Amino acid sequence: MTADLELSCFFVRELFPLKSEGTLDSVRKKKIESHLATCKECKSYYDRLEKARATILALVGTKPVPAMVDYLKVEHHFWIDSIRRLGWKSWPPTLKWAVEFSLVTVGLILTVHYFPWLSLARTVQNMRPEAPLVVVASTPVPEPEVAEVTPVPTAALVTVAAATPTTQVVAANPKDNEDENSQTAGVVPNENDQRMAGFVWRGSLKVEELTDDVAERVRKVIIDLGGTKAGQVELGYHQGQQRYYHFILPEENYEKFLSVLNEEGIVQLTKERHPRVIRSGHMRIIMTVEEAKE
Amino acid sequence: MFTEVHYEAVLNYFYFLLMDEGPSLHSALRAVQAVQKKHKATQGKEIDLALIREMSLVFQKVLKKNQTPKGNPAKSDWKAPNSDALGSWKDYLRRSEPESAEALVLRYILNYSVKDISKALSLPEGTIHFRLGRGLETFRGGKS
Repeated sequence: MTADLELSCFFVRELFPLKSEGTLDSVRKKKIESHLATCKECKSYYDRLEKARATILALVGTKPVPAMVDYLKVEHHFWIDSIRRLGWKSWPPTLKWAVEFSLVTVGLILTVHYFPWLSLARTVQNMRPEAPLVVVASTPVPEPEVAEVTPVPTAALVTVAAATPTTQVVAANPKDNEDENSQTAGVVPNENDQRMAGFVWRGSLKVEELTDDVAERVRKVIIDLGGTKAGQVELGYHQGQQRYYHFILPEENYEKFLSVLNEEGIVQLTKERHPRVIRSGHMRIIMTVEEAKE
Repeated sequence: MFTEVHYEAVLNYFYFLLMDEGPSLHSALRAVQAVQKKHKATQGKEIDLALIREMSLVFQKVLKKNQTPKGNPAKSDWKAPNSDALGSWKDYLRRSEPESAEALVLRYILNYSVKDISKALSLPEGTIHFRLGRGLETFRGGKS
């Protein structure tokens, strides 16, 4: 923009904000002033915009309600605000107690119902060393520490060569009608099989969808962990809607076995007394894989 | 970090753009929380810039939800120094473009400089001047 050119009305009007800000250079400022001196329309336009500006400036100093400023100063959180909105502090004490009692009750019910008690119990059980059930004949027989175990008369106990605290004595299930294979040929009760001298782990693995892949994976896990088939049927035998696994597993792999199965679904295995015993360091597991019911 | 002036500025910003106490307070809280969350270590003048930016973002979100400025003078307990000017402003808001109204509030009512506004909103200063000019032009068409 050269000094000798006149500004058009359009430019003069467009430059109003700059002029009111005082950021115009002196040349353009003089040009605008000279234009306004001659152009009544632009002068009127400037007057009206200046008036509008003055009106808006009259609003400067508007004070918000103090309570609102205080509201902003306090830290807000959804739950705290919700309770505040409910006016909890002004509720009658009886109503407060009733609500608190209800909440605690609901919490307890949910905890009892949904907390994985079985897994916890199993973990605790695995952490605790097993009490010796069968001991060398020369030593006195201690009382079994496990509460659910029915004490067996000392005379009826099977003598095991070196029973350690971690010894697992697993027995065959006559109901399954299986033959004892090499893994189970440890020790057999001497007089009759009805004496509950051994243990068997029974239970199930509940998966979302039971497919051949799942069954095969479970079979592979068992074999990989040193498990061997027990009984007559193959691992993963079709039993109605379930798959049936009856096998002997080295005791040291039990933890790993559980952890792998836990990735597939919900495992529930219970240790039960059983008449037959197998050699130490091994455990017999009879497990079904089935679909979890809704 | 925040002073009384900042709280009043953010409340005034939304009050003059939304003209309704409830939404103004809610939006102001959102803007304050956004600044406190995103600009924890910010100090000095940067707080003003961050505040302008966040206020503008919240205002745009409000506009997207079609919460157009209403204006209910009967409900307002705010102390405006000039009730005639407030009436003119409400009249203007019904006709205005949101961007121009925002520029007028930031520049004239909250007294931020054009430079700060353009920096905070990442817009050229010329755009802010243009919006101010359009805003004043629309404003003068009212009963002012």
